[in-house]
Amino acid sequence: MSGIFPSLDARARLLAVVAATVIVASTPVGELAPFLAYVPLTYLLLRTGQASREYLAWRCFAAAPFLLMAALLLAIEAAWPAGGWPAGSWMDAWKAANWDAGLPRALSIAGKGFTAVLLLAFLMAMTELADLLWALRKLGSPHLLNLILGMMYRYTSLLSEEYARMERARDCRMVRPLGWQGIGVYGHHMGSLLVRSWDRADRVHAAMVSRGFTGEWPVTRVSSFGARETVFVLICAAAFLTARVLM
Amino acid sequence: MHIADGIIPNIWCGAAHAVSWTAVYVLGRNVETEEVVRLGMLASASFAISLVHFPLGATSVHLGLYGLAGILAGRRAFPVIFAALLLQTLLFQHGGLLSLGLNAINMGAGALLAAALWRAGVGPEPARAFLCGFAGVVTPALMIAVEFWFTGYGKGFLFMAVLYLGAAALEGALTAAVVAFLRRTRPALLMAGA
Repeated sequence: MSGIFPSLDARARLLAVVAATVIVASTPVGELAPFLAYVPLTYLLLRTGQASREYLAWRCFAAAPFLLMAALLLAIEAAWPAGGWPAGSWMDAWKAANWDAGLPRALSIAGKGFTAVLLLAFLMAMTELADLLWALRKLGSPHLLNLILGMMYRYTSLLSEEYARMERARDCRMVRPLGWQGIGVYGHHMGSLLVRSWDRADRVHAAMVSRGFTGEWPVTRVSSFGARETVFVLICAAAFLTARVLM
Repeated sequence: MHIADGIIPNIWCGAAHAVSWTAVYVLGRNVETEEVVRLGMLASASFAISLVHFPLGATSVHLGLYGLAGILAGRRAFPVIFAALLLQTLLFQHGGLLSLGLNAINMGAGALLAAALWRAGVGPEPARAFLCGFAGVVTPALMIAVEFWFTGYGKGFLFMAVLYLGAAALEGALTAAVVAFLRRTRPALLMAGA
């Protein structure tokens, strides 16, 4: 990964994205002018790294149903503010709607949502998950959370593969596809995975203790949050804040 | 069912972050190292299973397993769910970093309610397991509907919450099936969260 953004300490990347997201999300509902600045600022931020455009577009597409539903709900709520849905046909209701009030609110919610998704997807495209978990830990996230996240990072893909193997074995032995009547079979498979995970947990714990585990992950990564990181986070926050206040 | 960033006002998200981080700290206190490994493994298994999609009409649903997490982990289900949601946010952008606290409260409430129902021990076990799985989906859906209503989106999401009843019934049935399997093969797991 090349560019300014991926060369920064993971904490700075996380803080810059969180700061920009907080500022964009704080834009009052219905205000569209700040987006005239948010769009080029987001583009500039994305230019500090070389994330795949297809990946970013796909992440926005995946988030679209929820964001558009929220925008639609807000538009409908603003369109018929007083008496709710009017009596009569759909056409009558459509004519009675105050779309001038609803549309800016819907657009601003969709704009805020898509900008936040874009920024988070960019962060993930430019940062290894292990680096982000390390950053969270250095920023003071609770001890138990760090330990669980560490375990999940190590074992989720492994258990996913194990479940896929179990599914493959089941499908090989079946005469016809499993339908709704096979819900008990699904339940037994999931239970079986939980039992295997539990047994694995005991073995993993014994191995960890034998290697000297006392409830803390050892820190082997060296990285510093220097002047470069501080300046980047401040510039990022200041640019979005200026757009938010002045536009 | 994950609320994305920018949808709910920042003040709500900030307050929810404060509550959920505190809950992670309080509900995760005095944990033994052996239990940490089991919780991590439970979180990984739940996460892996939640990636499986089931056909439902023209669409498909995936499981949350919040009720099952409540049964197996008890009050520790909240930190487990918080960790799983954080990972989902980072890996798939389901939800967002600002709304993570709110999502954790919504899903965690379902798991904690399931834990309480399970520990209450009232009624036959299969029915109780079904109810736990059902409550694990319906509680977050209702909470999201109320949050949307209070933040100016109207009551439209209440209709969406009703649509989740089908997914809740599926999750309830699967939770009952998993519990029946564990009761036969490894009953100790069902006592772990008590």
